[in-house]
Amino acid sequence: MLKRVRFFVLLNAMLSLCYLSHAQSVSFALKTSPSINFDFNTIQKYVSGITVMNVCELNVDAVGTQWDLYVGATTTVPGLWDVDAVYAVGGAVPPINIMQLQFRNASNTSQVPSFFPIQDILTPTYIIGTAVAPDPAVNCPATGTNQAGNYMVSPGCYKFNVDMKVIPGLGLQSGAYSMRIDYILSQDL
Amino acid sequence: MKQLIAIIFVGALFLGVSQKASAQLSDEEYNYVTMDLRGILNLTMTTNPQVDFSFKTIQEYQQGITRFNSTQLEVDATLAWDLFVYANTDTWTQVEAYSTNGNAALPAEILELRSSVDNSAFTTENFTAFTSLKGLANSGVAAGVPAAATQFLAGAVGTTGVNDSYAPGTASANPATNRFRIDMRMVPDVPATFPNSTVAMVGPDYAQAGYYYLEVVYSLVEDL
Repeated sequence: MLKRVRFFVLLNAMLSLCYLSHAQSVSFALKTSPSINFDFNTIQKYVSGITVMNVCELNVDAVGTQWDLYVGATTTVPGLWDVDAVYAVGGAVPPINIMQLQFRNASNTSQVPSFFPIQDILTPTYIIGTAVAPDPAVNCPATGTNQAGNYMVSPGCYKFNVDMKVIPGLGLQSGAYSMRIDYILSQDL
Repeated sequence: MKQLIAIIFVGALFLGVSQKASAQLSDEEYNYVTMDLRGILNLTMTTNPQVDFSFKTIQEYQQGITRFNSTQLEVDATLAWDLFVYANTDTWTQVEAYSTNGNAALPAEILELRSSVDNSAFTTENFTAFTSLKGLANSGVAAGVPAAATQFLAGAVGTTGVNDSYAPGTASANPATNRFRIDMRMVPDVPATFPNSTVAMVGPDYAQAGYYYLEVVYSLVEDL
């Protein structure tokens, strides 16, 4: 009986050791999921656009692994805003690429340094890393920093402020529209 | 027994440690974005809204008076648009009579307009050349809605999508289509029968001397 107990305990310990690998995780800290509204009620806003700085803040916490960060839009019809209401009969449904994003941090680690038009989540824009894995390791504070790290220890590389800009121009159909922007933080696999 | 306890203790220790490795391989954050595109139609008159015609000499009666660029309009629109014009009444309103003979019911059509923007490709009811301005009834405008007989400075009645409206734009970016210079002309002649008018006076066919006014309405609408 004692021998049998010893056997099972040892077996369990060995199995546990197999799973006691280096802990790996990626996560956004302090989630906010903010909403934002763009109201175009003057000709000037249509032509010049509306820019909102610091719409949200992404705080990356990557433990024991390289990571990718990418962003895209999720809508019912890929490439077009969701139509909530229509005010006029003429014009086209706005394409999602009139929405532009910019990712900023103190070390300028974003691979896309300025405003860029958003794409559908199926063909996202990579802020850090690429679709090909594994990516070459990049250490903070270089552009494309993707090594494990924490926004509290290295905010210049692991904290991103997101700005938004929409320039509709003239010719779009008047109405109320919406979209969801997805920010995906994933292990570099 | 001691051995057994030690083995169980070590086993439990590894068990506890092994529970710590719960890896999260991805995480998501979201923004919910809404956008309100308001329909905007702006019509701006950049000149004095009052235009005066004062006939004081026989020459002015015979040759008429032309006011070039008497009215200038600018259109800023985020939608497809039409611009039409009509007189708010069928006849001029007499404020004061200077004589006791002649006809005080002067048709609105004695006023002629000409536009700098050629709208002839859109409708025959246009102001490419000097054309009598239609009065309210003849224009067919009812409750602000144009009809087939309505005269257009830009666009035309209908929404077929083919040559019936002007594209969205601003006056600064599209001056050729969004900026209008209106010339006005009146030719009374002697006697003052206004021969260019498309509507003749009924009864005495010459105008009574006096002071009159007419309200001209410029209406900017979404493609109707």
